[in-house]
Amino acid sequence: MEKKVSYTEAILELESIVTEIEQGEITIDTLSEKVKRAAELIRICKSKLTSTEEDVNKILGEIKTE
Amino acid sequence: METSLPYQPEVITLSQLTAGIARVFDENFPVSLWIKAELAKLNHYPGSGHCYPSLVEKEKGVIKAEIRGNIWANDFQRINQKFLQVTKEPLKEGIQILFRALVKYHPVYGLSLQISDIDPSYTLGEMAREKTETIIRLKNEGLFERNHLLPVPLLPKRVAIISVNTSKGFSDFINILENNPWGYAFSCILFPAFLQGDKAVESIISQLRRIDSLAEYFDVVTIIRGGGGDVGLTCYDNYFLAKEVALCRLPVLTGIGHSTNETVVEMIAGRNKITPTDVAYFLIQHFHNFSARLEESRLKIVTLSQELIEEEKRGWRELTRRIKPGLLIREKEIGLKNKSEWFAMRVNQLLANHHAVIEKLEQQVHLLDPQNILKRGYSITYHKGKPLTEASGAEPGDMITTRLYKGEINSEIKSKKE
Repeated sequence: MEKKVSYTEAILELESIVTEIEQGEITIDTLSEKVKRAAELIRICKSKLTSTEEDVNKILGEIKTE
Repeated sequence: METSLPYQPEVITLSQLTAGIARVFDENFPVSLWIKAELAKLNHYPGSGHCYPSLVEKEKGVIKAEIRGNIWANDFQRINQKFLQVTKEPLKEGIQILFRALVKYHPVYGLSLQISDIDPSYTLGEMAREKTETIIRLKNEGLFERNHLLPVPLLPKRVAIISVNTSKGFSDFINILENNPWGYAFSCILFPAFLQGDKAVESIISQLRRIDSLAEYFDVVTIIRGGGGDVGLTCYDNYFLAKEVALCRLPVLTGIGHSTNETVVEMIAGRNKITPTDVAYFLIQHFHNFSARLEESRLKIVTLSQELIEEEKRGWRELTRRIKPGLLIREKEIGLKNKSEWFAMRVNQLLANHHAVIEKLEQQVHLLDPQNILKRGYSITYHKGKPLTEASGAEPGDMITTRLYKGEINSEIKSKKE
């Protein structure tokens, strides 16, 4: 299930960016890129908390055919 | 009528025979006896209220002995009430009973046991014994831990609910999920079933199988029941139902809401939260944990970035401070005004570009600023310097620091719930 995996991957990628910054491997130029990517990952994860799944309609269809 | 045969057997009428048989029974079974057997069929006639049960004894599944019995209506009423009180189940087929009966032989209706009493504590004991056997059997089959080992996803959003929409437990559960103040979104589908009594086992198994065939559309299965009293819950000790739960490909969470001992299904289920509301809070807590992890990362990025930016700025200020006096000296010494001017312009250009990068970065970081979130009442709890997301990471007596929008609170943990 793609959707299921992507939020797990997103939070792991986010946390690895944090570790990179913590360990001081980032220059001021790459920092800008990383922060932008982090903001995007945070957006993906946050939306996962509040969005409804489209799967629901699929299942309702399956159930009706039983 | 007499005939002239050399040898004449004694001839009697049928009623003489049955009267003789009756006498034998009366003489040999004059008082009522306490007998144990299985109540194979109850045969209760609601019209008259009488029962004509079938009593059997089986050995290795084969019937060894069988007799018909009868329970008169008022006896049945009284006995059934006692059963409901003591065993939390009505008299029903398939149970082992210890009963008191008179052995009666009726010339027309034949042999039957007239039952005057049934001891519910014997049946209770038998039920307990069966429950223990079921547990052992499931352990031997390696099924006991199986569902516990299935991980609950980080965000258990898609919930299959086995319940009934008239149950108070169900409505409480759904309310908490659908009206949660944090806007967390769950997708719940109800699979209706009988939740107690003799139809429950078959009904719940059937729904579990359906859900299992749709396993890729769900994250968890919940069995939700509550508010209907404690009668008829032995279905949750049933071996076949417990086995079905054990084999489920998704983690099963139970909130069966009762006050009696933990049932086998509750022991087998991946997580037993006892009440429907606690199952709901359990799911919500997963969302909180995820949210807290996000917050932690966001905070760190903001803080670290701001530090880095400050460092950079300091470095450049140093640089420009050192360059200016140098320029003046060189001007005087070498008199290369053009070259130094060019140099000053170049530095200013680099500084300007750099300021643009820093400004952009500051803007991005500002967007991640957690102050807005903290303002809404969120707080972050720190334990030994790190954000705390699980109650298992701290113990009563530990010190924790709660960071609020404004200020911090230091407190000592009194108690926790995991």
